[in-house]
Amino acid sequence: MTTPAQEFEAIVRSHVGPLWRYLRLLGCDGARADDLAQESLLTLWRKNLLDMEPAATQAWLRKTARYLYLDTLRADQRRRETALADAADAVFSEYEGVDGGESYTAQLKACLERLAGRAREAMDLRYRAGQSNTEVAAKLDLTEDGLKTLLKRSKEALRQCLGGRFES
Amino acid sequence: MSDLELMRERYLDLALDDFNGRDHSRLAARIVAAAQSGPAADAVLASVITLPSRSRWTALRPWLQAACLVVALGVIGWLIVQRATPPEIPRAEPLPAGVRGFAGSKHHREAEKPVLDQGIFTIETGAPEINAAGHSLRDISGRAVLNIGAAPDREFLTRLIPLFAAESLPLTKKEQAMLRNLKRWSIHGALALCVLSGSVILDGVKLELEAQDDAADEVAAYFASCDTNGDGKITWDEALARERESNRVRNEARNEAERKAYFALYEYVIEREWFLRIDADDNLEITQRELAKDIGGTPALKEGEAPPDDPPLNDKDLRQLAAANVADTWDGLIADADANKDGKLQQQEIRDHFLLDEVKRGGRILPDGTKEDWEDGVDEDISEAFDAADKNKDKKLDKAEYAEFAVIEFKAGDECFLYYSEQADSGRNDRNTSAQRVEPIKLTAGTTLFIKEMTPLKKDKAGNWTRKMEYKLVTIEKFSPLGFRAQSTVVDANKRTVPNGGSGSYHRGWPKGYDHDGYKLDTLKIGGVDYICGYNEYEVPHQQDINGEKVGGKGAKKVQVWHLRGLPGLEVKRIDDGEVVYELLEINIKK
Repeated sequence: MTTPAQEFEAIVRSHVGPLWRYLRLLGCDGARADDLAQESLLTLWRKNLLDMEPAATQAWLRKTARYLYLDTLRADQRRRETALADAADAVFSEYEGVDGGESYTAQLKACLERLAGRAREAMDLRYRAGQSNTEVAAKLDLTEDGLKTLLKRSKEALRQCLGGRFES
Repeated sequence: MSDLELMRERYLDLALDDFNGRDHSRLAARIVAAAQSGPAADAVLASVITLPSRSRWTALRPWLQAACLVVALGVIGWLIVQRATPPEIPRAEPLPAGVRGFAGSKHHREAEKPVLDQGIFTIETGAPEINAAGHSLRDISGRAVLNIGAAPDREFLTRLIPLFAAESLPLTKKEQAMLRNLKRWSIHGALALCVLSGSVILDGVKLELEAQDDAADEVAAYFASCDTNGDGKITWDEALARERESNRVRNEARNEAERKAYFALYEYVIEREWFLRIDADDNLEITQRELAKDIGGTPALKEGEAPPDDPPLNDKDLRQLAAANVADTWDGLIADADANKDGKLQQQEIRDHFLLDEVKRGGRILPDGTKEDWEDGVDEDISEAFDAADKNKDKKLDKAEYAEFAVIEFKAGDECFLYYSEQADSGRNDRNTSAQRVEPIKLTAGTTLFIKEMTPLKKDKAGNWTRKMEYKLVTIEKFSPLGFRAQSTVVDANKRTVPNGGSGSYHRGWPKGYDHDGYKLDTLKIGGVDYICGYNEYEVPHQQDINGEKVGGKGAKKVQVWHLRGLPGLEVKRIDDGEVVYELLEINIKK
C-alpha cells in the first residue's frame, strides 16, 4: 500500500521540473524558483491534495506558484507582472501543455542541427557545453561583441525555424 | 515586442540554457525532506479532522462523545505515526538514500550499517552514518565524493569526470575543477575523499569545503587534463596532440550522448594559439606558473569595463602556429586528395579538397557557382600564390612548397573578396529577400581583415539593399586562404514522390509516433550510382511549408526530410506538392 508520503514524493518528482521552468518563465532567478517551487509543493502537501489527477495537480501548482510569485512583488510591479504572467501561462500551456515540452525540445534540437559552421559551433559550446561567453569567444577567435552578434543571429535563425511550428 | 513574444523569447532562452536537461533530484529531495520535518503536521490535522463546534459537541449524548473521542484519538495517533515515518525513497540499488555507488563499486551491510568496500561513491545530505574502508563517516551535509582503493593520481582524475556523465550525475564546472585538483582530495589509507560542498565528520573530525581560489582549481584541472604524461609541464606536442584528438572525437560524435561525453572529456584543451600566448618564455613548454598567471592573473573587471585585448603573437609564435596549421592541413590533404599517391598536390586537388570539406561540413554550392557562406569569410584566387610556391615548376607542391603557399601575408593593394549571404530583416511575409553579395576590399600593408559587426540586409523604400558593416584592421597576421570561387552544374536529377497526406490533421511540433532518434533508409540512384540516404517523414501542418513558414491555401501533407550530409553535391532542389526533386551538382572549381 502506498503511503501519503510516498504519494507526495512521486508528485514532487513528477512536477518539480515543469513547475521550476514555469517559475523561471515568470521571471524568477534559479534560487527564487527553487524556493517558490518548494513552497508551492509544500502547500499541496499541507492541504493534503494528493489525490488529484496529474493535469489538475499541474494546474493547481502553477496557480499557486503564480500567486506566490506575484505576492512577493510590490503592488506597482504586480500589475505589470500579472499581464506578463498571463502571457507566460499562454506560452507555457502551448509549449508544455501536452507533452511537458518534449516536442519543443525535439524541434529545438532539429533546428540546432540545421545551423552550420561557426554558428553551430558557437551554439554547441555556449549551450551544449555550457561554456561562458568569454571561453567561447576565445575558442572561436572572436571578440565577445562578435560572439554576441553571432549568437544573436543564430538565435534569430532558431526562432524562425521554431516559429512556424509553434506560433498559432 | 508584445508580452507573448517576450515570453516566447524567454522560453527559447530557457530551453537553450537548460539544453542538457536540468537535474531536479536535489530540489525534490529538499522538498520531501522539508515535508517530513516541516511545521505541516498541524495544518494536515486541521484539514483532515474538522471537529464539531463546541455547541454541537456539547449537545451530543455522553456515550457518543466518548465514542467520537476514541475515534478522533485513534485517527490522530494514526496520522502522527504516518507523519513520523519518513517517506521511503525508491531504491534503484540497495544503498541508503544519499549514498550512490558507481558502476563496479562494492559494498555490504553490517548491523544494518552500510559498509563501502571498493570503488567510487557519492554521499550527500541525508545519508546515514556509513563505514568506508574502515573509517566512519557521519553528519554529511552537502556533497562529497569517495574513492576506495588506490590513491587518486592525475590519470584517475582525468577519467573521473566522464564517469559522472555515465552515471547521469551532473557536475558544475566548479565541481569538475575541484575534483580534478589533487589538493582537494584528502587521503586516509585506502579512502580518498573530496568534499564538494558542506562538510562531513570523518572519524570524529570535521572535514569541510575549504575556501580556495577558483582559479587554482581551474589551473589544476587544466594541468591534470593536458599534462598527459604527468611530468609537470605541458609541451607544445602534448597540447597539439590533445587538441587534434579532441577535434577528431568531436567530429566523429554521432549522437547527443557522444557529444555530451565529448564535452565532459575535452573540456580542458589548450588550443595552439592560446598555448603560444601563455608560453611567456617561448620555450614551447607551459609550466603551472605560466598557466596560473594567464588564468588567475586577470584582474576582476569593474561593471561595464571591457576586457583587455589579448597580447599580439610575436613572429616566432606566428611561425610556430603557421607550421602546426600547415602540418595538420598537409596530413589531411595527402590522405584525402593525393589521387596518385605521389606525395605532391596539384592546384585542382587542393581546391577540391577545401571546397568538398566545406560542403561536407554543411556548406553549399550556390546556383551562381559561389560557395554559400553566411558568416564572414575572405575569398581569394589561389593561382598566383600556388605558382609562386611551386619552385621547380612541376605544377605540384610538396610539403615544403605547400608551407610557403599556405602561409600568406597580404600586401598593400591586395584585393580580397568578402562573400556573405544574409536574410533580409523585412518580416516573415516577405520570403524572397535573401541575397548573396560580393564585396571587394583593398587591404593596406601587413594587415588582416576582421569583420567586427555586420547588420542584416534591409531593403529600403526604393528597393535598394542596405546594411551597415564595420571593419577592424589589425597589424600583421598570417593565415591560409579561406574560400574559393566555384561553379556548379546539374549533372543529374532524381525525383521521388512522397506520400500524399491531405488529412487536414494538425500537429504541434513533431507528430505522434515520430522517431526522434533513427532515420529511415532509402536509396537514391543518381548518375548510375546508388546513394544510401537517411530521411525522416512527418506531417507539415495546415497552411505551412516545410520550413514552418506560413503559406496560404496549403493543406496538411506528409513530407520527407532527407539528410544528405556526407553526400557532397547532392542538393534538395524543391519540395512541393508531394514531390521532392534532388539534383546532383558537379562541383567545378573555377581556375
